[in-house]
Amino acid sequence: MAGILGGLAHAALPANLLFCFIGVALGTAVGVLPGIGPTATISLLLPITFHMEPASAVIMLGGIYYGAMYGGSITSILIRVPGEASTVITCIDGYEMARRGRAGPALGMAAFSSFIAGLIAVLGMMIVGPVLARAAYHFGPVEIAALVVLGLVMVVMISSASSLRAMAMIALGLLLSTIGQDFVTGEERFTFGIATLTDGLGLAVIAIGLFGVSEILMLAGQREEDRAVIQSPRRLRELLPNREDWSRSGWPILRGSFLGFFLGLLPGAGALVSTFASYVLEKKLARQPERFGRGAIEGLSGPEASNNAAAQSAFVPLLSLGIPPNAVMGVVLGALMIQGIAPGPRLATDHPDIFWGVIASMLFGNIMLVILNVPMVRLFVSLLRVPTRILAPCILLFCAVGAYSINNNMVDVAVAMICGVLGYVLRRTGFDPVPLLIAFVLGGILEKSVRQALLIGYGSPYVFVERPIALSLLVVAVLLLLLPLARQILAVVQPRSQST
Amino acid sequence: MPSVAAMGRLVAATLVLTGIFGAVGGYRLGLWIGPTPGPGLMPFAASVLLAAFAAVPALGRARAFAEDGAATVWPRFVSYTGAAGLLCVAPPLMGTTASFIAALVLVLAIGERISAPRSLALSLVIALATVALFRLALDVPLPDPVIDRLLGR
Repeated sequence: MAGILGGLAHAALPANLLFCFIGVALGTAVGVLPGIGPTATISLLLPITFHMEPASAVIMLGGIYYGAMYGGSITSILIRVPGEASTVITCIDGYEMARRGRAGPALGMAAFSSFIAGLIAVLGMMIVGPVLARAAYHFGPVEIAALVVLGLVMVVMISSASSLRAMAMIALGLLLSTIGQDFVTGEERFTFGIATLTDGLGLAVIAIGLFGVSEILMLAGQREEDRAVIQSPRRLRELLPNREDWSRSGWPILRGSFLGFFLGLLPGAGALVSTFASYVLEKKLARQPERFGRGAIEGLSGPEASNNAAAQSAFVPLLSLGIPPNAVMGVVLGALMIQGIAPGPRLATDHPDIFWGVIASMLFGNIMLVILNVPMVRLFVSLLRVPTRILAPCILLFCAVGAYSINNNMVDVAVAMICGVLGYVLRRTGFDPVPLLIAFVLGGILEKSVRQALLIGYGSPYVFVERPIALSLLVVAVLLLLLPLARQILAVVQPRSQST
Repeated sequence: MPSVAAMGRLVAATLVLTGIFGAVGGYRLGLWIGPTPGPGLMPFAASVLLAAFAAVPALGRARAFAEDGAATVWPRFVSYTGAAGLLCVAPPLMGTTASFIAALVLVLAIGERISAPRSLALSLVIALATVALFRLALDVPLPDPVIDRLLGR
């Protein structure tokens, strides 16, 4: 308790509050701009942190990370371009809400659900975080591979297309994720001699193409009367979530926060898997699951809560075990190491100001995120008042610059535009690009963990069924796949038995 | 133009071919090196799955691809795809600002049928504002030989 109070006092120092605010504001800005992600921003700001107090440095870098999670939702909702991988799910119902004139409530709910989830995650981190982090590291490559497989099965369930086509898109996403240099042998795979492809395709480039450019092409092909679908709200009351939105979102926010908190502790795929786990859960629990994909606010509030909770709980394994669960935390680890501080089990006792100060700062950071963003909802929504014939070309231009700015490379612009045409063709023919993108993100983690798991098992695939956690996850995945099939068989068999 | 059903079959067939190509590529890379998985295992497995899952819609009934009922406005669609193509190839040749202006004029004047002087004026404002934001404020080195010469770089 003394540690928590000390942390709160340390985080409330004016300098730390200022750095927290700078981090949150910067994070929101980079989340809005497609291409410039939190990893790049934190890496760029790393030299500035050399002259800062270690706790202040991590507070600012942390603010950038969870600020970017919210910023990424803004573009997902308004223009269907996910700023971050974990906001891909927000594109589904968030953008549909914007199309139906409910961009304000969507943006407002994204901010409020992130805020509530942030508070729950901070409380969780203070109470059970370090203990859970140790438990989470029973997740080795075998368990992570099984978790990713379960995640991919969930993606089939959230897809608007048929299961078979969703699985085809997952396979295509996995194949695209293998482009580039093999991480074990260094051999080039499907690079066709193009040097830029050696590092593989960029997630942001593909997301810009599949979602942003393809949406513009969809709008370009529509007749004038069909294009005027994006409505902008007129009254202030319409800008914020109403009572019904809150009653629909209460439980999804709570469930999403807990899912995000627990999955965020896991290395690699935690934050991303938690968003679609939350979406699948809400769709399964909904009284009218057919509303999902057509602007259901539960499909936005649950995943938004889970991604923010996961962004914060990701700090627990870093601070209490010294193991970064994702790339952003890897850079934060670097910032601490440069300052001569090694995160790990002794950090809470040796440097309580850093351990508890960083956790407590998230409390203030989440409040700042709401104060900063809720008044901005009106400004963001006013973007929709620009006529589609002017807005659409601007977004196309923005997509091109966004793709270029990732690596300052024209090949990325070409890849984004090719992915845009691919996304357009896939959407027109009933293939859903969402599973493709998620499989692309998870593909790298799946390959790495499968290969490590097979190494552990001396090449034997039985390693996946010998471990109880992995086996349980795989059994759930198989059941989830077979359930719709069993329902279809039952639907055919039952009427027959009734007629006889 | 082909119907959505024909286009759907064509897309599915292309995916099957991509799967076969990927499987051959993965096999050549090596599926297994001694007791450990090789670099080709994952591409091979993903490609086989892709070919298998895409084969069903490729060979299935045409009515599996529902017509979405939306007619495509081809001149506008072509102007946008043309602008997308222009944005890929033109910046290193004629500079980012000029390419942006050309792409915007193409879309606004031909696709959106806005009058030529208004299209040009809008294109100038949007292109210059975008270049200023990314090049000057965010320090993104957009290729622009003309501006570089003007700035004496």
